[in-house]
Amino acid sequence: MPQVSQTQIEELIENFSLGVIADSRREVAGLPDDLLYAFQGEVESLFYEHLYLLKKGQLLEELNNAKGLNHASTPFTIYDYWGFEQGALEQSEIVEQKAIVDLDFGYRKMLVDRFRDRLVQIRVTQDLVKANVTFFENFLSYELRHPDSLNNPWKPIYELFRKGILLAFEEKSSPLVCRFYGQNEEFSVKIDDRLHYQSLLFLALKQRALYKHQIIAFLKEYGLSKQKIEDHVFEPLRSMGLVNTANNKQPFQLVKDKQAIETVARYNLLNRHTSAASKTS
Amino acid sequence: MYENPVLDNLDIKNIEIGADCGEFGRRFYAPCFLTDIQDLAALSRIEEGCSVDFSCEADKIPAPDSRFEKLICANPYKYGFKEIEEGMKLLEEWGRVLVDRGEIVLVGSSPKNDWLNPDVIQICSQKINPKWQIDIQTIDAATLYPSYTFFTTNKKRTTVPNLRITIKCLK
Repeated sequence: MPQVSQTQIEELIENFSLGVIADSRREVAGLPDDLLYAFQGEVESLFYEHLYLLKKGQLLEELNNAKGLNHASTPFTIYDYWGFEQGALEQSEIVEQKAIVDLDFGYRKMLVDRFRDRLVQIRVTQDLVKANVTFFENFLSYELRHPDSLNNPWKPIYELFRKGILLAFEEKSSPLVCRFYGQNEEFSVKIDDRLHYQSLLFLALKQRALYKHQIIAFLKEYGLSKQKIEDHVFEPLRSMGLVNTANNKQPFQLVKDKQAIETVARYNLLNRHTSAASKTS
Repeated sequence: MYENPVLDNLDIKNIEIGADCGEFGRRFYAPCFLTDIQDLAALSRIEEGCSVDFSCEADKIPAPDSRFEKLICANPYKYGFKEIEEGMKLLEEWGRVLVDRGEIVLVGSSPKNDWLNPDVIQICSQKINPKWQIDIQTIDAATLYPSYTFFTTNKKRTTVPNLRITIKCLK
């Protein structure tokens, strides 16, 4: 992940554009399914990367303490998210393993104010302004303190901003619900307690394996049953278009670029229609 | 508990706000009520050591005026002293439930945590009552609060506070 220069940040603010946000779900429902799948997949993959980086500090901390990974069975809530967020900001030295640079509060405030002004100019609702200013503020706090970092948890969110996409949480006790906003689209994505398993899967994908059987073997090390892995990991990821598994023998692919997402989305859509047709016939 | 004042234990003179899964107030400012906005009992997290005496919002403490001698708040996050408007609401409420010369004790990581901004705290405190006395100290948490592990929200990560702000609330 390349570092972001101050010039790039300033360009982002100047060029930030956002289409009119749909007022009703009916407008969203009118959009072609494969387009929504494609868009959703792109946003989700960046959002999961954000979560993965937020948790990185915790994983390192636990490994350093030789406690192993913590597998809490409680649902992932907004408070859990805040806990990771707070940890990433307060304990970034653990991840970076070096001292932090003093934050230039004046410069950060100037950039945040300009970002907020741009959102207000394009008539985004106040709640959405507030939520995204916080994301941007956290991005800057980390970026300015660790200018060479490859671990900034808000870098994926910054990438979303560059695409003209804003996002916000709906604060509910459980499950965590994210609402994504982009050019002419609005939709909700439910992230429930399967997130824990999915984050493990991403760890597996990054570190260990490219094949489904290798991933199953990795997750079994953490005490997950085969059925649980199927129900809580593969099925949700398949339905989101994040991964593609034609069958157990095929390579397991992490979908990265937009073209691949569209291909997977079409495959899933076709597969779903075919399954539905075979059930009704 | 405070919905039924008869159940109040007047021997407990201190209260911690936003205790979350910690027991900072009970360890270092006992006897002390632990409170949090989350209903931790309802979330079935008692087995993880997460237990508070009652749930309440930081700016709506269900207690009468001048009820407590000390109010403690450690590592506030997503509430606190990032903006003056919110800081004013909090300090006004906290001042209300404290006795004359009662103390607000704030502990946290600054400047890493925007929600514990000493400048905002000073401005709010002076606006509410210029007689209030503020003491800002850089601390070594391991020495001042030995054998205690501080956590971020929902016990997700360990953290180490470096600042203690004490406000003496004269009425």
